[in-house]
Amino acid sequence: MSLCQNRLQEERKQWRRDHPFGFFAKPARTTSGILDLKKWECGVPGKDKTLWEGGLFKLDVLFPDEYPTKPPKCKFVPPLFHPNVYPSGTVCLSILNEEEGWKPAITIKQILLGIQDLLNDPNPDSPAQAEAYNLFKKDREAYNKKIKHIVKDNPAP
Amino acid sequence: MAAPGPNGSTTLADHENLVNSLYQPGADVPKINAILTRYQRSQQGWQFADQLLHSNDDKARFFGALTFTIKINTDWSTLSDEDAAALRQRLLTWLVRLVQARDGPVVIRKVCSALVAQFLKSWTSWDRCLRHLLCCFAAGRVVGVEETLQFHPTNDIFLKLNSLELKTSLWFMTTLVEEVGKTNAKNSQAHHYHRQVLLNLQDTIPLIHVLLKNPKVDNEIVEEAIKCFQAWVNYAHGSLVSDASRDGLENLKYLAPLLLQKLVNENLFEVTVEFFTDVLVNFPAFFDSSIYASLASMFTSPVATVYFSALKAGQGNEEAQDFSRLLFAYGDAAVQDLAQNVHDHRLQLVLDHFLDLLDAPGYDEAELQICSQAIEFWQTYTEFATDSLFTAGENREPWMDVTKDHIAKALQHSWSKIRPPNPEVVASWNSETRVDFRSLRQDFTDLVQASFTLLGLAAFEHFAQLALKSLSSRSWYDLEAALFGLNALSDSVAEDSASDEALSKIFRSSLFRDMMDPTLTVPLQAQVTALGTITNYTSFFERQTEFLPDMLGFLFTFLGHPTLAIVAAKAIWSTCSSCRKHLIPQINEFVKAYEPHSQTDPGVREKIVGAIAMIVQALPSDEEKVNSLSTLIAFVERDADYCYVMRIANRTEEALNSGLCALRSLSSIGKGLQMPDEAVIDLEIEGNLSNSWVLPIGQDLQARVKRILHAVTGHLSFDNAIIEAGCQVLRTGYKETAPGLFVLPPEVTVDFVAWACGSGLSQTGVTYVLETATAMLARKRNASTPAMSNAASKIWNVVLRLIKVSSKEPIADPEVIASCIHLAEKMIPHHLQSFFGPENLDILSDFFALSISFLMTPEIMPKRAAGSFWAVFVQRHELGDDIGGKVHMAMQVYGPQLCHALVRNISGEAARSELDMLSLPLKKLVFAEPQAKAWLSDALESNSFVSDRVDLTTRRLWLQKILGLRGGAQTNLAVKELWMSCYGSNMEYAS
Repeated sequence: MSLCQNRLQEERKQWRRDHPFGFFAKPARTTSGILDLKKWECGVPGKDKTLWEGGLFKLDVLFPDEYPTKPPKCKFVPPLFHPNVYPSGTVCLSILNEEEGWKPAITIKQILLGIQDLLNDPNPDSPAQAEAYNLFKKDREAYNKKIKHIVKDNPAP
Repeated sequence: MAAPGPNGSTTLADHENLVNSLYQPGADVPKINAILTRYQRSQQGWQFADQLLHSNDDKARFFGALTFTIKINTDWSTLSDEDAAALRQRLLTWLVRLVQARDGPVVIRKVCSALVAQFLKSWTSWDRCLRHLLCCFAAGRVVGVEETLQFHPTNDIFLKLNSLELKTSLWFMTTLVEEVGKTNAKNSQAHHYHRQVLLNLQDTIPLIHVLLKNPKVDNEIVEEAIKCFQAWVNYAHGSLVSDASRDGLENLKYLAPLLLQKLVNENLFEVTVEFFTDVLVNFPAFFDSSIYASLASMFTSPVATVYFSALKAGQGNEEAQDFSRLLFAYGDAAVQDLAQNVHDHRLQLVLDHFLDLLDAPGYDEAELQICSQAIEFWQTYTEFATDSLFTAGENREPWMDVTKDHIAKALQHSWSKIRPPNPEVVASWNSETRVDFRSLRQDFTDLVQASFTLLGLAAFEHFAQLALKSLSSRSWYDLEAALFGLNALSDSVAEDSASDEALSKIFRSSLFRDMMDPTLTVPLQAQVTALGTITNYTSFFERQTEFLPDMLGFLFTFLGHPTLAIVAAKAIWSTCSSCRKHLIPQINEFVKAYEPHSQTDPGVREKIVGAIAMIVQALPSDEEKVNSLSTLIAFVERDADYCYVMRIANRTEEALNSGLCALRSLSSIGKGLQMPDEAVIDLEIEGNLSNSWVLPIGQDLQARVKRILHAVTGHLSFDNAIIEAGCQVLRTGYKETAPGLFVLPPEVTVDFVAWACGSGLSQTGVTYVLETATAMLARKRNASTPAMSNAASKIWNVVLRLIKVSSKEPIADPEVIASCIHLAEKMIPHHLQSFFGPENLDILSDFFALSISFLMTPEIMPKRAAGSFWAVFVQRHELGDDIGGKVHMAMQVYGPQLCHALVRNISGEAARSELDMLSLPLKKLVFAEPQAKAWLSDALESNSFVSDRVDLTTRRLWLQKILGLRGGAQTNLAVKELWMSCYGSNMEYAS
């Protein structure tokens, strides 16, 4: 088995053994029912006591063949209104950037917790979409209102 | 030996007092620590440590040993070879002396740590250090290494040692192996330590063997022997040692069977279980098949029965918990045997235990934890079986069928556990139990999904039957759990019509009636899960449309519910989207059903009007559409009117809510009216559409939409959300390919832009409006019509004037500028003529200058917009006509400036994350502009090149490289390399 597959099997075990409440992460299934270890369907809940509390945001985590040397790509489906999420839904986060903070030792749990942190704590230095970035910078009240609306639209079960 | 400390104190008593004062209540710990650290770090620190070990006070002795470790780690380099050798001798002397004095474990262990610390610093070999230590203990003094040759074989020495001497030897060895294991064997010095540590195997294995084998050995010593063994196994697993050394480590395996016997010793149970669990989880290959077989026997022995009963009865004492950890670690490691060896009676009994634990009664944390772990085991088992089945292909083996039976049983057992208990039980739960129970249900969902590949529709049908059975007996919680199981399978089953028969039985039953019957008091949770069944199986309703009216009726009853309304509304939306044609006969009922809900949540209302609009879209004639839409628009007008009334009454919050609801409802109707993606467009018919939208009846409706838009945005223009919602209304029509209610003339957008830019809207509001206009101008469809060209000219004119004003202000708003530049970029493909319109020529230069100046600011968004604009613009110079000439002229003026701006960035001013964006115009320029070479060369050799780290020759070579790449993808890398050279070596991590 390749390094990538081995590592993903191990990640799956680790996740099952220990994962933070409210999150989910599992390999997708192909139409014939086989697990596709290189594509995970994940859910990140909004943190308690933040604007995002009560929401659950779904994202696909796509692992390249070179994983864990290269980082996975995390993509909100559908794309999320957030300063650090590209219009395509891809998350812009330093630990997911091969040239910045990615290290092969970073686990899926750490990635998803990192994304949860990012939700309420956007990084204004690397905007990925104009809409959320502008509102975040210019009109925090409207931004907050919009987040509440999004949370309502994506309720945690 | 006491030496003067830094503050002149010399006596042992002074030092003892100082150490003891740390433990006094109210002690100034930071201050005392600072003094002690000063002592430790001083040149006399070694003497200070030695002096403290003489103390009669164990705290002072401990501190002395600790000081030795600290000195070794921080001041090792100050020691000569002789000093280092003397230090080892000194520490050994202390160890022997303290053990003889029967000192406590805390001090002795600390001296062991100091010895290990010196081992890890010293280049001088200390081969077979364990034997050396044992010999010292046997002699009652420190013997020389060469003297140890005269001692008996190690096996005989053990017999003469007392229990503290044995324990100390084991502590030392355990610490040594653990610490050396943490070092990287590839490093040459660490390799030296690994080699020396491995030499101790020949003494360790016999030592542990004797201690485990001899039943008379004190349990405390055996416990330490097991821990030492565990440290060695971890070392064998983790260290990158050579193959030759690995052979030595292989011998450790022969000790494992001895440990099995310790599982029945209650005093050693915990440490032994810890050993087996740790190795099964981290290094399962360490055990051979006989160990696995012995463990299986143990799990089926009478001793195990006691633990299983305790676990099932919720008597989660520590021993039972330890046992369960061992069991699950075993299950994970032995899953292959458990799945394949279907004729091994013992293994089948173990599997029965795993099944049994799935539905252990009780909901305490420990019990839920056991069930959750059991589900986890069955997941592993199921995945193994599935993988094996796929790998086997047509060569299916008999055991694979047996796994199916086990998995089916696992589903049945776990299903009964995830069934919600009686409300009284639930009421007694604290929040943690609720969380654990929800988590368990999620685990069950995963197991059900994992099982589908093997069980196929069988599991689905099983849950369907359970649902019907519980419905007929009105066992609501059973029904809930059965529907929960069905929901878990929806991803695999919903699209398959093979599931229709079973689902038809459920939806033809009294399910919907019962759920809505107020006399039956169905628990909310059962209703919620039933709602989930509908939302998960909407594709069934698309295939079996006869069920649609009842199902939608059920959904509508939830619209007043505070949390479920949005879920129901989404389901209504998606059902109407996919079954719009079948719902035409019900359209009037839906409109009626919607009316009573005008007070419900705005988010729900906008979804419902949009859903009804989808059915409208499917109506065959425009006339019918106009009539139905008129009713829907009337609903929206109520909100708009209410908004006005509230605004006049100065009740802004209410005005905003109803205003937003009105505008969002309009967008939702607009989206509902859009042609479904999969619809076939008949081009012949399209050209001859009878078009009510050009007749007064349609235009009247459009006028009403415009009125709502203008009224609400006009009343509440200060609010960005309102402006955004208004923009969304305009956008819904842009995507349409045929005339329709929201396909408004371009002039409406023009007026909106002119109004927005001249009415003191916030910058964010202006940005929304400009982006909306951009969306309209970017579309190819209708781009060449006179109305659209005219609109493009007018919008561009407004934007240019905005830029003229902005550029005169001290700080132009960067986001508005970014939107202006973005709009310009999107105009270029279809509206270049308007871009260069005669009325704009005099102020166009402001725009070009601004877009270049923003390439050199730190403002991220306008900089990106400017980069994209120039990437598109520089490609246009080859147009042969009059417009091509204008582009060419513009390039003559701004091309060199662009090159200077790009070079300034690439030579160090840009942030690393901007380089890809800046490479884009550079690539296009190199590819399309014949003068690029001259302009870039000039810029590279000018003051625009801000870094002085790169000489002229390198810059010229870089230019040649860039030109040679002709705009290819490798340009990005070349740009990054130059930028890094300009930035300096400290940025190498970014490469």
